[in-house]
Amino acid sequence: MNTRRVPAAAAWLLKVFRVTANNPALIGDIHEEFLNGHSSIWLWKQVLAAIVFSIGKELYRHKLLTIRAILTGQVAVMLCSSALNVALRDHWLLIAVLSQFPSSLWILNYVFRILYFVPAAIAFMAGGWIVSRFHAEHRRALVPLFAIVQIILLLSVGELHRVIVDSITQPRFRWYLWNQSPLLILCPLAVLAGGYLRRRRAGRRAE
Amino acid sequence: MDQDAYLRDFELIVLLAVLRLGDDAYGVSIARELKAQTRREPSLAKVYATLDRLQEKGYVSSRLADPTPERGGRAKRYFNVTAPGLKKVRETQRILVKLWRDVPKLEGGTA
Repeated sequence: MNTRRVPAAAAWLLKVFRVTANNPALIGDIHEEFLNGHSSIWLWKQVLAAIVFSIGKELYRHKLLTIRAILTGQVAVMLCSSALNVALRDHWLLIAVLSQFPSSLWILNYVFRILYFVPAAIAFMAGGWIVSRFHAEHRRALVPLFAIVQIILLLSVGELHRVIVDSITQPRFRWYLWNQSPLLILCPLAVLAGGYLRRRRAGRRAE
Repeated sequence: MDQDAYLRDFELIVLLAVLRLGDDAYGVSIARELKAQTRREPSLAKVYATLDRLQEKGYVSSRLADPTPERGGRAKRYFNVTAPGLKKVRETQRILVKLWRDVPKLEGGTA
């Protein structure tokens, strides 16, 4: 008897992104092929493809809603970012000094550097929350999309984009890139956290 | 422009695979058939996305079988090509054959 099981994390992801509810036959097929001897890499490729297709289908069916969600989320990020800039204008120097706190451990240095990006993370979180708040029914597709859009924007415009371009041609800028890199990690996590916060609270209210 | 005027390449390939498999056309068997014939393995999600699109256009129909334990208690979804689907495949074949003919570069070779 075959005792292999689909990993719980894969099953959880498929459930969270509603693939299980929307297409139970697809999950059955993945299950069947995995038990027939396909590798774990194959399984994860199928799971990711299923999630991408599920999100893509939902976005394609609600194009106007998708545009509206991106725009409202973006406005929320910009407003929140501006408000935080004003509120913290007298404290930026202190935050910058704290974020450069020297430590013998590089990982601690990195953690301190993250401090500098906390206000930006709060703005991204607000964007994720707004997208989720106003598009509750499609948040599973819209919040990850909003996170991807924010990463693309970070990489294509602004400070981070300039540092990336400079560090390709001039190695001395790589240190600045390293300094800015926490933003790339914090941005999608903050957007997803903002969206998830809304879901948890909605869930609790339903209970 | 009528978006349903022509079948997309992958839609045609999937329809042909469903026709070849007859009564045994479900996600896994269709993906296997596609791998056997094209030597490329499409993801099951891509196969289902295409089948869903074809079903919306009315070119295939589906039915659920009984759930089985080896599929984690989930049912197989069997697909059949409908009469409009069959007509569309014939129409696409006719157009492609017509285009194929009298192309000097394609004459006298198999590659």
